[in-house]
Amino acid sequence: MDVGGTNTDAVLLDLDAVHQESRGVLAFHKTPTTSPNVTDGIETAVSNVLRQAGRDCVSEITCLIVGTTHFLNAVIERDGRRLSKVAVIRLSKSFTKDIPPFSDFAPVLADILHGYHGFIDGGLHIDGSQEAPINKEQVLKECDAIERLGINAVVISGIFSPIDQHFHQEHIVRDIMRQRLPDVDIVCSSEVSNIGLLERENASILNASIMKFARRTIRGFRAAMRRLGLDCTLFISQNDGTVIDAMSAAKLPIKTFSSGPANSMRGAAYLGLGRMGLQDEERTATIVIDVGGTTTDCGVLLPSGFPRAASAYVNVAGVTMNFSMPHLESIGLGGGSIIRERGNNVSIGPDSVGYQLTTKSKVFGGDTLTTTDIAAAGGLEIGNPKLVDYVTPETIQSVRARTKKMLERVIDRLKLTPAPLPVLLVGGGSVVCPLELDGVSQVVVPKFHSVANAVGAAISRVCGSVDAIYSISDMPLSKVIEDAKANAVANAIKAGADPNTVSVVDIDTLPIPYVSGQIRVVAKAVGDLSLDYVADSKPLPEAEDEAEEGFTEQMKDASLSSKEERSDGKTDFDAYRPLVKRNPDSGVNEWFVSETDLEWLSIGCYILGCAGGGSPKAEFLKLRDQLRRGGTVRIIDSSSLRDDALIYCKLGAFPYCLCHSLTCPQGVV
Amino acid sequence: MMGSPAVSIERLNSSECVTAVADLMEYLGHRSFDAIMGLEIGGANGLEPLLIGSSQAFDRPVIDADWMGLRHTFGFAYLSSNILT
Repeated sequence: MDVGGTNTDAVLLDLDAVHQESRGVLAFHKTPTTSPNVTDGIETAVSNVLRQAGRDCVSEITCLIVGTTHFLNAVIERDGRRLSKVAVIRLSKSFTKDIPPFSDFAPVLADILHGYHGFIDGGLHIDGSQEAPINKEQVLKECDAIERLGINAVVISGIFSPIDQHFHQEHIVRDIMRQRLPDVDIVCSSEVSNIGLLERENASILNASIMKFARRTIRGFRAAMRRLGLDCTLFISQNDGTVIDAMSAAKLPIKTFSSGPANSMRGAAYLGLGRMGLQDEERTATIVIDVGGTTTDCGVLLPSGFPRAASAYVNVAGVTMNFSMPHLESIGLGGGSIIRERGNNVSIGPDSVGYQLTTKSKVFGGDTLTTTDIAAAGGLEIGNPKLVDYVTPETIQSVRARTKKMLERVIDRLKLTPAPLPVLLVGGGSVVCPLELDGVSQVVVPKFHSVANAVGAAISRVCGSVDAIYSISDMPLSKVIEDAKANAVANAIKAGADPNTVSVVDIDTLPIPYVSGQIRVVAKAVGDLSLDYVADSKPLPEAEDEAEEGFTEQMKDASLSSKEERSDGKTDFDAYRPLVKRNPDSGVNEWFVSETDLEWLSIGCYILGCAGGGSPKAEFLKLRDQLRRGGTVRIIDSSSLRDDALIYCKLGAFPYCLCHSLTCPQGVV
Repeated sequence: MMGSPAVSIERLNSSECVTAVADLMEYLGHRSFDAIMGLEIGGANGLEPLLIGSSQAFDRPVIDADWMGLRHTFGFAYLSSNILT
């Protein structure tokens, strides 16, 4: 199943018939996602495919796998009703205070999520030794603050916590908090992701903010299964296209955050590749564009058929995180995206009528103009076309042009070379997309494309991983690697993989800087879902369920803040004008750096640094905040300096003073 | 910044560099300076001079140059700005 923001799709897949023309698809159904209770849509979709397949098939179902972008949509739409306020407690006695938690969040999202943040003693040095021990009094004081504010989600964010092998600082803090605040969700950043404080903390914050909503959602899935008489295991798809059982998913929903697009890519590959008439040619990379109701997710399928992984960072809803997941670019374009006309300009999204497409859009008698209405006005057979008669050809033309530009821009971001690539176009919202795009060799729409996500979920595999620090002073590296591989395979089998199909797909050894005799090993094993495991592990759903009152909808935050839209990707490069002013005192032209300039300089510095000199992210955030507070930064050309100018030079941690060094080859250092 | 970026991705930038410049000024008896210049416009080092030159620190202009031939593209900013028109 795929439960998206707009549609809920179900597919019944016969894994013994994958080589037939139907690719094993026995039945499929698409129905609008229901809200606030997504379970109604799930019941409709599942009961429909079961009916299509015949009466007795319920007992033959081995498992239900659900992939959902439900949580992601809550963040993208900045939906305060579904996101909890988060308190972040940083563990560092002396550092990082200039760049507090939430610095990297768009102001609108930070407004919704930021409940509280504090700094307490703790943190490690890079060699794993303690910067300061945990101080219980301080932890309890923070608990008082959190309780006073009524916050139910907490992130513990320790400096260098992923290499904390001895002190377990985050866990100590968690245990103290849990005793004091038993009903609060507590997330330890080291359990969410790896080295990279800001990105790990960002991911942990989003995880904490969606935990309550995720639990409620998963509980809804289980309830629907019970009503349908489905007595089988419930799995949830993860970001990398593998599955975990629902219990584990509820603790780390961030790992299932973006499974929908990953599934659609794998589903698109399964349905579409080999049908492109390209068998005789060398297979190239393929762009997959999955258009839902609210967002469009684009990724790259490598010639191997697997999604290209994000290199170091992924960006979800404007928040940077350090996760391993397919490289995806998401834009706010979908079948339900709201169209607004401002003079001669049209804007598309990023907000969407989502699951209410069939009541709110014009073509279904509603009062909101959406991309689907434009498609209908342009000739697509959907709803009542008379209701969109009034839409002028000019509007249709400008929406089409804008849609095309949005897609071309996102495709361009994904491509590593200018050569045109084929595009697999999937998803229910794909009707709003043009079939001809610049930079694309051909657009292919595979059979069953509208349920590609659900197909991708159904063919999911199980993953087991190991990420541990090994000592190589008393064990040779080869033995360490063997050990890590064996553990990864064992973890995959424990998570439900068929032992006969498990293989190690990824092994990485990473030296730990400034620490000798230790090495970090990351291993990943993947296998097919074992049918035996499924039969063995039928859940006891009632016992896991939490008290109902904890999940009442918080309607008070319902108003969506619209005071600031994200500026990302909206800058018109051609029209942009930097600000250069003549200084009245010195007569020198000075470039006053704007936030846009700063963003571009930061990207340039990151590239020119070639990973040396570190990421300029922290400096960028500090400068950006200074500019927002009204500060100025000026850049001048070296030719405007007087011959006797006194210049300070920032050389590493040591500033130097130069006198007129620019014309003096050696400088005066 | 000197040393490994492996440190700074966890222990984020603080105000060390601004403090160091202030200390050097005190040592040299300088009350101000004309401009600040970076070693290399690359990575975090590329933006650090902007923090030192910022009006929130010393409020001095940053020279569009470094010691390895890179620039912040003042030329681009100048030519594409409105100042010429």
